[in-house]
Amino acid sequence: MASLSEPRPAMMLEEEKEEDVVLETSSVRKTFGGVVAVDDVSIQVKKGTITMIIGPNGSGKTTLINVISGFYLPDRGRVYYKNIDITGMPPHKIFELGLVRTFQIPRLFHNLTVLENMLVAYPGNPGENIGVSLAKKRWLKVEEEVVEKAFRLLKFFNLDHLWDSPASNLSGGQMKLLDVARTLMSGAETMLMDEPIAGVNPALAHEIFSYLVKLKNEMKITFLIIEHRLEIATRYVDWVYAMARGRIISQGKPKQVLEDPLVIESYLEG
Amino acid sequence: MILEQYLPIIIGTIFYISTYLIVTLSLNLEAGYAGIPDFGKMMFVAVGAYVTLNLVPRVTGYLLGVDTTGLTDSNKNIRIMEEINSRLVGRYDVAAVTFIVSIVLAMGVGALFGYLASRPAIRLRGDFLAISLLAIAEIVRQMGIHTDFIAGGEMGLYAPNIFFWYRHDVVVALLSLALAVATFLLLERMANSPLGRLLRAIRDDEDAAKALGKDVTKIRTRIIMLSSAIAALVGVLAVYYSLGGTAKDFDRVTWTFWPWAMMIAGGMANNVGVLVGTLLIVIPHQLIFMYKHAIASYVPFDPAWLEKILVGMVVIIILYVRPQGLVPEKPSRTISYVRVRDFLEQAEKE
Amino acid sequence: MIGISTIFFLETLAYASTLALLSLGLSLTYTTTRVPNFAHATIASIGTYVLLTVVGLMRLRGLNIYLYSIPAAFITVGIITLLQYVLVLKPLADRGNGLIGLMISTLALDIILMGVINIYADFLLQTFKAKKVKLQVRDQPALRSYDARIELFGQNVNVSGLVAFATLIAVAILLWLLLNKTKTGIAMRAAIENPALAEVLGVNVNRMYMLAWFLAGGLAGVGGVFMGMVQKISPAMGALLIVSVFAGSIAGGITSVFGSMLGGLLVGFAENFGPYYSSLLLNMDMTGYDKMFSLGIIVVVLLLVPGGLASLDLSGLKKRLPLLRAGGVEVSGE
Ligand SMILES: Nc1ncnc2c1ncn2[C@@H]1O[C@H](COP(=O)(O)OP(=O)(O)OP(=O)(O)O)[C@@H](O)[C@H]1O
Ligand SMILES: [Mg+2]
Repeated sequence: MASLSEPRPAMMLEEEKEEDVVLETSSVRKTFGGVVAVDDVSIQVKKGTITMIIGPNGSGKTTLINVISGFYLPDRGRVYYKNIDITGMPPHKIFELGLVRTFQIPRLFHNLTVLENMLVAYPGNPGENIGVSLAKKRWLKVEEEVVEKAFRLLKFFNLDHLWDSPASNLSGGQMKLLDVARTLMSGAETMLMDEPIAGVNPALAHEIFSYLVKLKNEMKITFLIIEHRLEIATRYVDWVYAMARGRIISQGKPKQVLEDPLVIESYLEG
Repeated sequence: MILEQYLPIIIGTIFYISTYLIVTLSLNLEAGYAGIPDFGKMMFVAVGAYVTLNLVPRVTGYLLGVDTTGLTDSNKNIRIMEEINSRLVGRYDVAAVTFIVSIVLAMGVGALFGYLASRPAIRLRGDFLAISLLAIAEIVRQMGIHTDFIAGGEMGLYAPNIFFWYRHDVVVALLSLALAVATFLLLERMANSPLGRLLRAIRDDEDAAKALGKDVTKIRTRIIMLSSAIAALVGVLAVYYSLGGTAKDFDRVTWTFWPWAMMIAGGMANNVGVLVGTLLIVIPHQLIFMYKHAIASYVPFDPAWLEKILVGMVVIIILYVRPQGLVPEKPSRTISYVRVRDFLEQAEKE
Repeated sequence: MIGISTIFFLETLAYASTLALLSLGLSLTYTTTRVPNFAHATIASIGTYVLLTVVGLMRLRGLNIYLYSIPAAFITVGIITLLQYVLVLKPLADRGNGLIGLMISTLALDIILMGVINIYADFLLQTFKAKKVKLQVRDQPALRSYDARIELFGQNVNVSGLVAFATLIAVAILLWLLLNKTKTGIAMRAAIENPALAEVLGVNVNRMYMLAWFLAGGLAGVGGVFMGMVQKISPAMGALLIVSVFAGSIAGGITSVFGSMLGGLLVGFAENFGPYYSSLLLNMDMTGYDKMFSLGIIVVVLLLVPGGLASLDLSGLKKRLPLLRAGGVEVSGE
């Protein structure tokens, strides 16, 4: 376990890779001008687990998510999802493979209603095709199912009463919730979440994490989550990576990582 | 008596309202719904006209056994067209084929131009797309004016009169009206489908849409192609309405800015708003045109300049006092409100 | 230059320097509000009408033309452009209008100004008639015959090309000094690069943007003066010119002021020499295809290097010219 942070030669990946590793980065590096945001990061996320990335502000967590989800092209290193090299793939292609991400600052469709935000997230609605859109018969059934599903999720997140108001009218916390709900709506197998409970009240935050655990257990959904609110998140996660100044400085079971002097030191510095 | 006096202006008003409605609706699809800042709109109307002036008469000529070599040479053009028109009388079959060919060709070439013109900047920030579309449109216009082989250059070209059986202007005006109604219904249906919602989503946040698996570039390309094909129809109508045309007819003010002004005034991403905006600008324009001489005696310059200033100011004022336009955007009603409430109550009972 | 006459070269130099002045200003305003100003070329043509007015009413000839019309155009057009920012763009942006709304407002202003110039031309026509000035207000050929002349390489040529280029160099040096060596300029750069931070540091960001718009407009006005010396004067001259101005800014990098200046020069030369050489090469008449070369530049740059010349890695140069930088051209996703 100790030597995992060392990059392994790419050639050996196929044979050596454990069956249940679903997402893997190998020696990813990303710079902006002179700033090295992510440096030689290799992580592995096992199927059906909740893996958390922690680290002080500016340590490169969001940049890593951006690289994995195809929004940034890494300077070096590769990203594998379900054994497929997804490095440099456009985001929508990565989504099609079953990987979805949220944004640290919620990126909602502001002029769409809360319900509409949910409905857009449903993948493969036939009515989104130009030709089919004119034939209501061919999409109405799917649409109704999607509405039903959306309301169930909205109710869970306490957003159902707001279904018809524009997303721009929501409070900061509600926006965050809608972003998470929308991601769940997408039905992806793997979800990258950038601070999903930032600004959410503790009671609801616990409920959300319990729900994620339920999804994990019942549907084998995999989560890679960035969180700052460790007091809430820690108890729900299976594995933790700690980042500092673009690098992975520690990994292991939550308790183990949080007690790692290197990690504590990095937070004090940060 | 009075009817006869006002008939031309009534026909003209119907024609302008209908054609502007078609162009502005198509602009609303790409700009209002999908957020594509098409500042090159005039080019797509123009290519519809170029096709009708340049390619279509060759087909008509072929069907009637008229030699069309030298069609774009303005000296020969008039004689060729006289020949075509004289043989066309009574040939309903050729007229119908000509009309269908112009529609199909214009829409095809319009879509092709939409595809090509959007290539350089479709993946970039919206302002780059706006700049490159405007630049390409200006150059398409410039080429049309400076070269003879596209649309006869400065002199322009004549078009066959396929509506020989009645006053062609009346027929074209009514035909435009029918097409405008059809376009309205079609786009309204699209707007109230999952596609309409998807386009508004892409417009609001392209990155979020990508993260949710939407192929933004592909969807945008398809929409700009569809929108350009629809706009090209208006080029066809304009040519048949005046039985000819020149590249000069399609300039930035008339066929890019005006549709934008109508859409902004009426309300983006709302087809009813587009209708309101179109009426709001075309009707005063027709009035100014009608009373041009009366107005000219009050102001010491050509009222056309005043109109430009006024329309420009209306746009800026509306952006200031009511950025959403007179009729604001509404959610895409894919299923009825009542039915949605049913689902809501059902979820709440669980 | 092979086959190029001194006169043709100087005319091109005048035109290219004009474009450089315009592209530079366009980028300066773009970096502040992040809106491409579609009225920028029409704004410059106001400068051309200032020239026409000054030449007509003051009956100027030779170098006096520049002496009077450059400051007059700079101030008039600078103020008009400042008003565009203060009365149109800033209020609209504050009202929450997005990129599309702001862009369309500049297109609207373009049309308004075109109307105003036409009305002014009507008015000028009356005045010229009354004062028996023999100048057209629409379709007036370039004021070449009014220009000062000098002996160059054994040829008697107009000075417009040399004056325009000298003005451009002077502007570039002064602007560089302003942005790098004065407190105001450094504040302006801060306001452009990080408005929020600059505000915290006590920079009045809005005032800096006002200054940028005034300067950009003033330089466009000066460009308009040179334009009138080498191109036909008409109220609609801006309609097509805007394509070349954007081509210059895009080629140089629209967020880079000095990059755009070089881009403008490049486009100016390409538009004149391109048709000339390709006519020789293809053995057919390519005049009238000048804007095709601008379009070619726009398309190639956007497809290959959307950040323009300034985004190419010139690390050494970059450090010396802080504004010569690509930042801000978001090429999303792919
Ligand atoms: N688009 C960008 N351009 C330039 N620098 C960037 C960009 N994105 C991130 N950075 C820099 O990269 C570093 C890592 O940033 P990142 O956002 O990944 O940190 P983070 O761990 O997510 O921080 P936080 O906890 O505050 O969200 C920072 O120094 C940041 O300034
Ligand atoms: Mg972050």
